[in-house]
Amino acid sequence: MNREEKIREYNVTGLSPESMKMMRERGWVGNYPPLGEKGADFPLWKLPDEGNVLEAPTSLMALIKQHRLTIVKFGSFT
Amino acid sequence: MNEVADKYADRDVGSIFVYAREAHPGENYSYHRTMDDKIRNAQGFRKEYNVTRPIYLDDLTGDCHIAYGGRSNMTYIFNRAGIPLYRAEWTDGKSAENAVIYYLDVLERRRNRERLAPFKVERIDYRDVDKERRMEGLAKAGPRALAEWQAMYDQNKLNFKPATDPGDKNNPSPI
Repeated sequence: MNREEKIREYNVTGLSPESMKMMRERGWVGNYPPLGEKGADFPLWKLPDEGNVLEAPTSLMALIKQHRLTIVKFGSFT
Repeated sequence: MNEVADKYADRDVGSIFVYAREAHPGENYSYHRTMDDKIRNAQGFRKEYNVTRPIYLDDLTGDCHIAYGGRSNMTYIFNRAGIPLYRAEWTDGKSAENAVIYYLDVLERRRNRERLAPFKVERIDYRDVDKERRMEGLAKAGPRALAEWQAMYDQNKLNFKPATDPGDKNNPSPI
């Protein structure tokens, strides 16, 4: 699957039994990393204020290193 | 979760929001095709819900989100070494705070040179089920989001119905 296809499929266009099934079949839901082992790192972009543009990315682990504990919530508007 | 973040910030507990994909896209907050879509929705979210925690955007392909389980409202707690200690399939402030208190105590015990070894625990936590509030949130996304959610709810495809009566055979609660 190329990047454009993954963008289209990951950002599903609506909630339906079919979209939930597709996400599960792709292995995109419910595959958790083990607790107690170092987590994988990924680039993250700080949300700019309105009118500003995205800056260069930081990373998940760079943010986590800043505190002795870090709460990380994954979510969206809806 | 803003309250939990504020309450423990001075104890060196950080808190971030990783903005992933729209779980219930609608006419007002649609699914993401470009990073500009994602930025616009996330800015709307920050303003609408007065999110004071720093918000970071995952890539459009959801690489970080998927690698950590891909659910729509998950929370993790990491230690400074980048090790995930706590994972919740659904975000609940009381559950997360309970874990933060526990891990802060562990850090204190380690500072006091107690010999501690990690072990894994599984448990069931409970979240608020406020359908009206949920519907209000979906309505902000747009009528389509509301209709799709209601259809899934009616088909019992969503794990959303409260288990309030431990004796109810059709809707049992573990406690």
